[in-house]
Formats: sequence, structure tokens, C-alpha cells
Amino acid sequence: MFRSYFIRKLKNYLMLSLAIFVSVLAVIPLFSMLYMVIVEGGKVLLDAGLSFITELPPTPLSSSIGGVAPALLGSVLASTLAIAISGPIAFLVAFFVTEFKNSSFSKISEVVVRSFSGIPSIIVSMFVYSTVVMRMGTQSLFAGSLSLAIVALPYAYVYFTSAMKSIPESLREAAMSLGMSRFKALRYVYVGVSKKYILTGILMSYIKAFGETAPLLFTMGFLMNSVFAGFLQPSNALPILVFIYALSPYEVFHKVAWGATLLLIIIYLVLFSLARSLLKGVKL
Amino acid sequence: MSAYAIEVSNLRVRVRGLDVLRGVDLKVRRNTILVIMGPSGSGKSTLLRTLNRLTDFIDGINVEGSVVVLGRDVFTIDPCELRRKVVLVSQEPNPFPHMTIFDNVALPAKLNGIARNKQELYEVVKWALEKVMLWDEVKNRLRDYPHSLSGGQRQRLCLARALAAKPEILLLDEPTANIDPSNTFKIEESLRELREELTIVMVTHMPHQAVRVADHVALLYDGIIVEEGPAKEVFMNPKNDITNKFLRGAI
Ligand SMILES: Nc1ncnc2c1ncn2[C@@H]1O[C@H](COP(=O)(O)OP(=O)(O)O)[C@@H](O)[C@H]1O
Ligand SMILES: [Mg+2]
Repeated sequence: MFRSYFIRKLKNYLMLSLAIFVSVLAVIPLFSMLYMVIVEGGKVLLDAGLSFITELPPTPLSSSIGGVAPALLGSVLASTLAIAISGPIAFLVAFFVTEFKNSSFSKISEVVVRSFSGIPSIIVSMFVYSTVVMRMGTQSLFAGSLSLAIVALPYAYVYFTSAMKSIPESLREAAMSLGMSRFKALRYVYVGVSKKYILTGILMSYIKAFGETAPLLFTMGFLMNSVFAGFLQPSNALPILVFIYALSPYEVFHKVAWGATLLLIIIYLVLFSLARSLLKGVKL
Repeated sequence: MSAYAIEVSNLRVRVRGLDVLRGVDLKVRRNTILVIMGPSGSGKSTLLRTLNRLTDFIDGINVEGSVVVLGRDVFTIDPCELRRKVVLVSQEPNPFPHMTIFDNVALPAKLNGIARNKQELYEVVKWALEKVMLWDEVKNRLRDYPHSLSGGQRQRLCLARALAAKPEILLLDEPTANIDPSNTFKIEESLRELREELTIVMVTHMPHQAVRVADHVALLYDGIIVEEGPAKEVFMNPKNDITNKFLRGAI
């Protein structure tokens, strides 16, 4: 009796230790990577200070680190434009699909939008390259944004759908029983009631667009000798800068890549915690 | 113009194979209050919803028969237009949580073009809140949100919101279920007054309330109206055995 109890305890203890050991093993690479980024990137950011986000990148043999201004601005603009394009489309589709769920338009667009999330983003990049970039004759901020928009679309759609589903049936009935059309209800009631979900969706899709590399590879181009060249001209973006500089042979470029990586993580964390705190505040 | 605001004949409603209304005939005179009584589950809410086609939003519902409201067949007119004139107040209070107390009441007035400027809007809101005995309680916090109100206050807010739409017909589903007795009496008094301006169909499962407010009553039992008539007659002298039992509280 006592013996079997002891053995059970021991078994339990062993299994628990094993589970903890395996989980630690799994997060070690993650944390060691994060640790390296913080140490290496931290050195660069402390060294460069604010000029890291305001200045142009260094030349390969320069001694000063310079900054990532073109990439930062490019990322901000491209992600913003991407959400400005995909957000309204995703929102309208989400509205139609939840409100007119039996219409064939809803059924078809739901499938189309959802299937977007299954397309590898490099294919999206190639698609935009062959349709937009080839036609316009140059890679551009616009083409990059379009590529990001396609990648962000299913994300925004999923968030907006849950925003629409967060609207209690009783409020739908309240709007309808006052004689509102579905569009009036959307404008006066649904948007207001679910605005925190909608904002969260916008933020999360923005984050998604901000961190994506592959959609930009064939579309965005590269820009380092000025901060901004125009919407129809090549631009830079943080993930692309990291990708290209990390593979380059120059020491100073490696430093910039570390700094840019940390910057990306910081921006990600800030936006993400903003989205989290928004969702926490949701009350009806 | 017909003397009746509502004329229902042979109304049958099935929801996913379940017979909810099994041939209802009903007429409501303009500027009167009809109270529909009946035990819960008898189909009162469903009957009320067919009158302004809120039944459109119930999946798997099948409605047959004729429903003529304000002289028009409800199945052939624009449902939004219908619902702007025939407003329903649900059993559970459902104020818009993202709007202030003032805006909750002001919205339908705006949508229906009741007020042309801010001053008029304020007057309509005040009028509606007074009618439901809520004005004194909220006049100093019109900019607050409804979640700061009690359940009874919220229900009155929803009533005020419906009134501010200036409907021709008001459909009330157990409007005083969450409201304390003294305010209930006052609201019933308001309803009696409002009858001058509109037609009211009210659902209740409490016979006492019907006694106080109704011009006419109808007793719905298991999807059929078993008795209807002028309130006094039905209460003094019920012809149907089920009515008798219901009024004595036996069902
Ligand atoms: N949306 C619905 N889905 C399924 N059944 C429903 C629905 N609405 C009403 N019913 C059914 O119809 C019957 C009458 O309901 P209801 O009209 O709410 O009665 P009452 O208001 O008198 O309590 C009940 O048996 C209920 O289960
Ligand atoms: Mg009911």
C-alpha cells in the first residue's frame, strides 16, 4: 500500500521532470537567439543612439554605423499601405459573410479569402512581380505594399470575422427592430460595439505585414542612398535589410543587421502589447 | 383608412418542424392597447415578432397566413420601413453599450428624421425619457454609458429609445419584467397616455398587468388564441376554461 503510493509518486515526479526538461530544450534555441539579438543588437543601438533610426546606412568600409532610416520608413509606409488596401476589403467580406451568410457571394468570397492564407508568400511575391513590377518596369514601394496586402488579407479577415461574431445577437435585434438596414446597423452599431476587436485586427495584420520578408523580395527593390524615393520607386524594408546585410561580407553591415533585428523585435513587442491591452479592455 | 392598425388572419408559424403558431386571427384597433397573455412558451414573442418581421432573422422559420399592418401586407413591403413604424422592445434590455444614454435615445430620432436640429433632438430625448420615468434619474448623466444603469433603468432606456423613433405601433415584449412595482405603475400610466398617439401591443404573462393597462386582451395558449375581447368582459366573465384557469393562476 505504502510502497505503491511511493512508486506512483516517483513515476509522477520523473514524468514531470522529463516534461520540463523537454520544454526547456525546446525553448533554448529561441531564448539563445533572443539573447544574442539583445546583446549584439543592443550594443549597436546603444552605440548609434537615435541616429540609428534617422540616418542612412553606412558604406561597406565606413567606420560609423549610420542608420536604417530608409528601411524603417519603407516598412512603416509599406505596411500602412498594405493595411489600407487589404483592411477595407477584408472588413467588407467579413461583414457580408457574417450578415448574409447564405448568399453565394459570401460563400465564394469566404473560400477565396481563406485560400489566400494557404499560398506561400514567395509565390505572392512572384505573382506581383510578374503582373505589377514587369508592367511598371521597376520594383517599388507600391508593388511591395500590394504583395504585403495579399499576405495580410486573410489575417485581417479572420480578425474582422471574429469582430463581427463578437456582436451579441441582442444588439443585432435592437438595431433591426428600430428599422435599421444592415448597412446602417454596421455604421451605427456594429462598428462601435466591436471597435476594439477591429482595432486589434488592424494592429495584428499590421504586425504581420511589418515582419514579412518573402512578399517583398521580388517586389520592393532596395534603397539605401535616400530615405524615400517615391511610391512608384524602389524602397527598403527592415526585414529585407536584415536579409541582405546579414549575408554580406562586411563587418559594419552585420552590425546594422543586428541592430535592425532588435529594432524589429522592439517594434513587434510594442505593437503586440498594444493589441493585447486593447483586447483586455473589451467589455460590453 | 382601416380602423384597425393590425389585422392578422390564419397565421401559422413553424420553426424547424415545431408548430409555434397554429392559425392565429387577431385585429387591433388604432389607438388601443392590446395585451396578449399566455403562459411562457405559448408563442407570444413569436407572434409579436411576425408583426414587424423580426421573424426574418430566425433560421429555419416558415410563416404562412396574412399579416396586414397599417393597411399594408407586411410581406410585400420593405421590412426596414415597416420596422421604423412598428418598433419592438425586447424582453431583455439591449441598450447600445458604445453609446451614451443620450445617444441611445437620440439615434432612432435621428434615423427617422424626427428632429431637425440639436434643440429638437434634446426635446425628443427628454420627452421619451420622461415618458418612461427615467428623466429625473439620468438628466445629470446623459453622457454616461448604459452599463452604469441598473437592469430596470436599462429596460426603461430601451423603452425610451423605441418611443423616440415615434412609431405608429409599439410592440412590447414583457416590458416591465425587470422593473420595480412603483415604476411599473408609472410606466403603465404613460402607456395609457401614449395610446392617444399610437397603437400598443403588449405581451405579458401576468394577468394583473393586463387588468391595469389593456383595452383588449387575447389569451394565447399553445399557439392558438383561445379567447379575446374587451378587457373588462374577458376578466369579469371568461368564456373559455383555459382563460379561467390562467386568470386564476392555475397555468
Ligand atoms: N428562434 C427560435 N428557435 C427555435 N425555437 C423557437 C425560436 N423562437 C421560438 N421558438 C419556440 O417557439 C415556442 C414559443 O416561443 P415564444 O414565442 O418565445 O413563447 P413565449 O414568448 O410565449 O414564451 C417555444 O416552444 C420556443 O421553443
Ligand atoms: Mg417571450
